[in-house]
Order: sequence, then C-alpha cells, then structure tokens
Amino acid sequence: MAAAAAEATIDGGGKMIILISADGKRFEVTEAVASQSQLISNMIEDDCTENGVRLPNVDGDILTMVVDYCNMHAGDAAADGDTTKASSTEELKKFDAELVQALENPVLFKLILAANFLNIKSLLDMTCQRVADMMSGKTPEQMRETFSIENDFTPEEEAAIRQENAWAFDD
Amino acid sequence: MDELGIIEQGVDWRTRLGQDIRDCMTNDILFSLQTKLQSTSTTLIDLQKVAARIEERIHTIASDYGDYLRRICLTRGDLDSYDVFLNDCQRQQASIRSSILLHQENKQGVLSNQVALNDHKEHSHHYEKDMISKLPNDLVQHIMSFLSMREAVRTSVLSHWWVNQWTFLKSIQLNIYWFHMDREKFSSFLDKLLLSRVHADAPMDTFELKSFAIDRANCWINHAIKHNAKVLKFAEYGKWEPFYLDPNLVELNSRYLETLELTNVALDATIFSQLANSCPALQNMLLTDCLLEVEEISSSSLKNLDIIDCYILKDLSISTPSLVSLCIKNERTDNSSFRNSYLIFATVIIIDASSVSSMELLAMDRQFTFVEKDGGEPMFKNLRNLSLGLWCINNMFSPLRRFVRHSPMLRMVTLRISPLDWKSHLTKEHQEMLISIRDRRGLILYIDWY
Repeated sequence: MAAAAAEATIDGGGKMIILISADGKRFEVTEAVASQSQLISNMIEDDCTENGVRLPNVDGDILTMVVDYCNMHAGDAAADGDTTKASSTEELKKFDAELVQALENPVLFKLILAANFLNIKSLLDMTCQRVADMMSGKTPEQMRETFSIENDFTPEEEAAIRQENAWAFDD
Repeated sequence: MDELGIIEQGVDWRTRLGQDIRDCMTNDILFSLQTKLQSTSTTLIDLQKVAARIEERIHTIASDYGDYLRRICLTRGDLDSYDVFLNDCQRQQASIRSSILLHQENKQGVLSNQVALNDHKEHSHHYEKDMISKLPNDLVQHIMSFLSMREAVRTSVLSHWWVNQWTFLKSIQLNIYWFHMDREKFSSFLDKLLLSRVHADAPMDTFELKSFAIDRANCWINHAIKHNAKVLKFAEYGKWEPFYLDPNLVELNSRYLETLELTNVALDATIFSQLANSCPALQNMLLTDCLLEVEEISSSSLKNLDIIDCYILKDLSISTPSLVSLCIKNERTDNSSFRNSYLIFATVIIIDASSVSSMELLAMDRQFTFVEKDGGEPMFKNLRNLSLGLWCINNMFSPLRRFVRHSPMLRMVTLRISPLDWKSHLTKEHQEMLISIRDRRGLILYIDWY
C-alpha cells in the first residue's frame, strides 16, 4: 500500500505544467522538471502557470532539447543518499557530454540563449563551457573560421591590436 | 549605457527586448481583456490602449526579462480561461486535452511544422552565420570566463566588435611572467585596463595579480577593493623583497571581500587594524611568505586562516570566533632562505577560536598558546584534529596536555617531528607520557616524520 503510494508520487511528480514554445508547440512536464528553470520556478511560486507558460523566444526544437535535459536532470537535486544514483550520475555525465558534443553552431547558441532566458544555470554553464572549449587553443584565424566571424580590420589595424596585447599572443 | 556599449546588469534587458515580443505580450493582455468583456460592448473603452498601458507599466517596473514575463502573467491571472489561451495559440485545435502534446509526440510535430518554424525565425531573429558576436554582452562574458586570461585577450583581434570584450571580464588575472618581467609594459597595461573598466563601470569579481617590484600595485589592489572584488589575490615576485602593502594607499574596507590571499607581502602593524569592522564578509585568508608586523587578526566572519611560511615579527593574537580551520606552519624544509634575518621568536596567542575544528600549529620558531576562558570552560569546544610541532614537548608535553585538556571533542593528534629531534629531545619518559596522554583520552596519535 505504502509502496504503491510512494510510486505514484514519483511517477506523477506532482502537478503538470504546459510549456508553449514560440512556434506554439506544447510540452507537458512535471513541476519538478520545470522548476529547474529558475524563471518557471518563480512563476510556479507566484501561481501563474495555470494557463501554460508561453516562451515567446524559444523555438520548439530548442525547447525539445531543454525539456529532454530537464527530464534527465530532474532527479539531481533530490535523493542524495540513494545508492542507485551512483550509476545514474555516470549516465547523466554521458548524456550531457553527448548532448553538448553533438550540437552544431547555430543550435548551440540558441540553446545558450534559451538556457539564459529560462535561467537554468547548469545548462547555461555547460553550453558556454562548450563554446569556450571551441575557442580554446585556437589561433584568431581558426576562431574566426569556427564561428564565422568576419574580420573587419585592415591589416594595419589588426597588427596594431596584436602589438598592443603582444604578451597574449606569444607562446 | 555608455559609449563603449557596456550595459550594466539589470538595465540591459529592456534594450534587448524586441518590439515583436512586447507586441505579442500586449496582444495577450488585450485578448484577456476582450475575453473578460466577452459579448458586452467594447466600444466604450479602447482596450488596445489599456493593454498597451498595462504592458508599458510592467515594462517600466520589471527588474528583468523573467520578472517582466512573470508580472505579465500575473496581470492576466484569472482573466483568461484555458480555452481562450489555447485558441490564441492554436486556433485550429478544438479540444484542450487532445492538443496537449507530450514532447515525444512533439518531435514529429516539429517536422510537420517546419515551414512555420522557419517563418518564425526569419521574422524575429535575423540570425546570420556569426552568432557569437550577436550574443548579449553578459553571455559573451560568461563564455569568456571559462577561458584563460590570455585566451580571452586573444579574442581582441577577431573583429572590431571583439576588441574590448575581454576587458570587461569579471575575473582579472594577470601575471608579470607573461610580460617577460617587463615592468613598464605590465604597469602601463594594467593602468590602461583598469581605467577603461572604470569608464565602462565593469563589475569585478576576482582580481589576481602577480607583480614584480611595482609600487603602483597598491593602487591596483585598492582599485579592486573599491570595485567590490570578492576574491583578491596578490603575489610579489618570490625573488624580490616583500611588497609593502601601504596602509595609506590600501584601505581594507569592503562589504564584498570574501577571500584575501597575499604572497610575499609585508603587512604593516596597522593594515589589519579595522578588519573586524570593515570586512564583514571576509571568510578566507591565506598569507604565504609574508612578513607580519601585525599584532592582531580579529574578525568575526573569518572561517579559514592559513599562515604559511610567514615571518611573524611581533607577538600575534588571533581573535576569530567563527574560525573553522587554523593553520600556522612552515613548510620550507631548508633554512637557507635569504630572509633568515627575519627569524625571531614570537608567540601566537589564540584569544578566541571556539568554533575551530581543525588546527595545525607547526612552525618551529615560535610558541603557541591560548587564553583560557573565565570559569574554566573548555577553549576549543569543537576541535577534532590537532597537529603540533616540536614546541609542544617542553616540560613533559605540558603545552600538548593543556591543549588536550581544553578540547573535549578531540579525536586525532598529529605530532610533526623530525627523526633527529625525536632522538635528541625525546627521552623514554617523554614517550611514556605521550602514550599515557593518548590512552587516557582514547585519542588517535600519529607521528608525522619529516
């Protein structure tokens, strides 16, 4: 009896919340999952998620990823002493690594914007770290290529700036 | 906003908020208003204006984008019914229940709605290929915070937009080694950097400097304190004289300072005099290779105090009721240091360390003692781990016995002694005494040979 009741709470995870993307896609998630977004967590506290939460600057494809991420990480905060968590921590790491590695440039940046807007710190850190990793160890030329940054300097201007911060460029 | 395009946190969200989103919100409000009025006349009131005013008001008072959305949501509150909201989003859907797509189903939905999705992108985002240069400044800062300082500076040659981005980093770490010890270049670089940050009002979190014989470092350190740095680390070049932290130029007075780490610095008798009142957030202090003329370290917030390889030139009293960990030790194995002229026998007096749970008192050239509380109350109520050096064997371990007596929770005692000292100083009686101290209290005793 007690076990069944406990199971029901875990499965149900309390109230459901509807997230609505910019293009009108709807996602039904538990409060626990959605609360990983500080933005939505505040909304839940203020009791104004009844009619669904509109996210006017998050596209459906990005929100799909965010919801996947939040579903995976929902158990994070709760149940620390749980021994079954040890293996799932590994799984989580793997999931995160795969998620972030697979991202192509435009999607990665949209995910950063979404994580920032929704205020999901772990996702924001992870995606920003990924961009930093893509910059790290590269020459400016390689960085420009990686991120399609247009070099709008004249050769003289560029040389002058390099000269100014010469210490950062010699190896 | 100033001419450099830097926007202070908490203000910038408005400039970033597109008119399309505002219009969308205004329409939502309008829709709610219309629903409330339902079939009654709408000619008596210009709902469009009402909605626009509501939106405008919220836009003005909201502290950030999230707050804006939350407040908009609150104003709508119970105005709109679920059906109306749904109709607004997906008019073609007839029933509420059938329209709630779980995200698994939605993946298919993404494909079928591809056209609509693309329309939306073009409409609201105007993304070109270079997306990183179009991120809001605070996000670029966040990305750069994962880079080393040198890597961050290298972004300055990417394009015009990038020239100054790195100068607004919250965390500044500079090492004169990177400038091949060229003090002129290092100094003018720092002056320029800090000046441009002042103009831009860039917030500071961490300031970490490795300098070499530059007096102006006093001004840079003071700058960091004045600009609310939480972490301040300063190291003078190890082969140079201790840097004189000038109390006339550096005012240790900050509500924000949490961590202070100084290496090879001379600390004047007055430099910490106001610490107790002026740095209420200070939790960690690490002094390495410093000269301490300071006579008192007093702070009610300090949690960790480490004094490593320092020369304590005057008797030093420590009064830190929140302290959890205290470590005063010499790790230098050789005594060939050119600063042997500073060796002096000074006493460290612990006046208050009632919260401390771990204590290492391992310096050879000094004595440690503590002031007993009135009424014979134990001094170290929470102490669990205690490490002591050779000084504690005097008078048949009298200092050790005194520390043990005042530490009711003590579990582990470590003695750090060289085999040579052990042989020459410890008699059989000493060893018996040590064992009796251990057994009487059921302590774990560990001899750490070095």
